Amino acid sequence: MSPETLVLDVTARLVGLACALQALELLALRPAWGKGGVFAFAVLRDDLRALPAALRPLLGRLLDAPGFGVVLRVRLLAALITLATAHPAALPVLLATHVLVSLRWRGAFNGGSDAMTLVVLLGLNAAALSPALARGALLYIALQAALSYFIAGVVKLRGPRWRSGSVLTEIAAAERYQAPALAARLLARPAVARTAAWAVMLFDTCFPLALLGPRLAFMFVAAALVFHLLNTWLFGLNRFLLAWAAAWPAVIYAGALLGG
Amino acid sequence: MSAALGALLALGLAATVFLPRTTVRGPAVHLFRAFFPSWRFFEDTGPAPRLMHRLVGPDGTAGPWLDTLPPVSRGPLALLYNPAGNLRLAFGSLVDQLVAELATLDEAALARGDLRALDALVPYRLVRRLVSERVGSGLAPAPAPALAYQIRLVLDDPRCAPDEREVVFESPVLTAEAARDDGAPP
Repeated sequence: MSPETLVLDVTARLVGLACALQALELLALRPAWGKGGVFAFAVLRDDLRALPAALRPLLGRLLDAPGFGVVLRVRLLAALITLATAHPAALPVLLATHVLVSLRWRGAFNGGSDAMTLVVLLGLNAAALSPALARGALLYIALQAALSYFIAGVVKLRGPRWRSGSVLTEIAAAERYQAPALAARLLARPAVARTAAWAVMLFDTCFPLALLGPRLAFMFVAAALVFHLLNTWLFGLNRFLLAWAAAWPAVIYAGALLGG
Repeated sequence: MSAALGALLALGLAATVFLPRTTVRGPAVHLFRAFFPSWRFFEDTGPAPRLMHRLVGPDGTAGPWLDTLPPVSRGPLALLYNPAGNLRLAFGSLVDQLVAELATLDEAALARGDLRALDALVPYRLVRRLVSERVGSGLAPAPAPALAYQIRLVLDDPRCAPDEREVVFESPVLTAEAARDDGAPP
């Protein structure tokens, strides 16, 4: 088995797990997207005016309540097949259903995690087209993962309130993220918030160093695991953990390949 | 890593820092935005908007402003599977989209009471359905037969006392029945 095949196998299984859990979550949320739900397709249909008229009837069937349930079940099945076998046959189904789910939620259900899942699925589908594309596909996933941390770090560094740590205090206290009371209390202390903010910014902006060698790649991926686990505990961002985890094998591969 | 690849990577990273940001807008782009990730997580854009509502009785008496979204508890399983928490985050994104689209409306028309453009906004209609559901479900203390309410968006700034937070939007008095639309803008 070539290194590329091994990394693609692990990546496919991880994204299969991520997609299976995403599909299960959305199936559990049927009251929200069903006929009488807040996100009823009857209202969201207006968004589809931006798309070609010929596509709208088909999309309407796939995105309205009974059809969308079928889409989610097909996605779950394809995800479980990918998780169990890493067979590339289910990858186009995962990609197509991922785009449909994003459309159903006005572009994204969960922002960045949908984008990273898409990056990984695009890479895996490209690699499945031809073995010659495998290396490029993995480098694409690794580069997007490195960029995701780097850009997030740079925009934070530019913000004076991030540099002082006050943004972190604000996020931890925000009603939206419902951080545990202990974390909110800790991050209400300026020194703790400033230290934590700088740790996040340094980790984020330095992440591209992972591409300089396998040892660095493992170190950054280990740090990323801690970072995402903390984000999940603090802010409930569980989808980010598995979406980014699916990209980490490609980061390690790129570190080994580019760093020699 | 070869020097050429290293230089290319450094150049690419520098470009993301120093090149001017180009924002591409449009309804189709918005629908496919997962294809164009910005990766600008938690950019310092100020406090997030917070969704509130208040009930209005038949005699026009308004109750206190209430948080629309109830807290969601997170157990150990939420590390991997957290549908209620993710739905809550999706509601947060919906409120962000509403604020962004409100900024595109003609303020003069709104001030004149012309609410057609407001009523046509998909996020506004979704938020109305959300509040209407909360009012109707008993999650909010609704004094029967009051099914009229108002929506308010305030900036969730922990430095301000709850009643001093900046109000970015306040709807006219709405009825819960009107929010249960079949898709056509009310």
